[in-house]
Amino acid sequence: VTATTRRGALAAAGAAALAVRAGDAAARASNGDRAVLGRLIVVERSAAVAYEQAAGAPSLSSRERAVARDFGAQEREHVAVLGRALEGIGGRPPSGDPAPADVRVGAKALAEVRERADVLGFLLGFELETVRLYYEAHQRLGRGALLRTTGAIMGNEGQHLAVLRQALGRDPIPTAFETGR
Amino acid sequence: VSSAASSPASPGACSICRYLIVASVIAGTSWLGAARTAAGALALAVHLENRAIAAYLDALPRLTSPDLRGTAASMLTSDAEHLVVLRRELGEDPVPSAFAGGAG
Repeated sequence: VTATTRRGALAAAGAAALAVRAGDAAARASNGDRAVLGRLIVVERSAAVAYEQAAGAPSLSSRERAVARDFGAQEREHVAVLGRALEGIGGRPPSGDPAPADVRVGAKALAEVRERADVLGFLLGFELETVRLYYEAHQRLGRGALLRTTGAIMGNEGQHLAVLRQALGRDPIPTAFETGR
Repeated sequence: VSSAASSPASPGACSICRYLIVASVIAGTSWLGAARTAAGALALAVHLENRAIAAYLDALPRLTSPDLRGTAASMLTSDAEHLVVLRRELGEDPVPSAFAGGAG
């Protein structure tokens, strides 16, 4: 083995090691992105169930129930788009909705709230949690291409927040940086 | 924001922020003539907010700093919330799409 070929062999080994490390990093990023998207889909499914339940709440006005129906349909659109994105990176979207009793904000389930302000307050709390998860997702997702989709969805969840705050007589936009906190 | 902007892991972040600011100013000055009425001013504001959201959606995939990505997403979301108030003032559906900026 000549010096030249030894150098070549060392360089090749180094390149192979770098490639393996790059492959490991890509695999970790893929696994991380799949986990983030899977979590977002579970939350979106829960949000859809929450709005669909609220659409039947007797304490809400007919106009508020219609808005809840519309927002529930928008959450379903998010589930569909995120599911396609997850499949696009080799993941399998979680299927099946949670039972309404399992959709909770803190210790409280939507099925346990009756009064108008409590129903709207529950939805507001759920949206705040959802926006917080999207905010954190933007810090964790490795694939930049996913961020256009998650950014557009996070913006829409913020719009739901503004509508719910207005319905509760609160400032619809209390901060210039909506993080869900 | 200041801590995110100074992050060493965000090359090009400042130029993207400058682009966002300049784009907003240019969009605003070219539309000032249309803002002579309340409806015109509101329509201008809707236009500017949509431009800003589109710029943030374009910028997000190019930002490498996790902190900056979070900050940009939080600002995009605040701008999307502004649209709710503006559309209500215009008598429009405040949330007509499931995706802010129309992206899917």
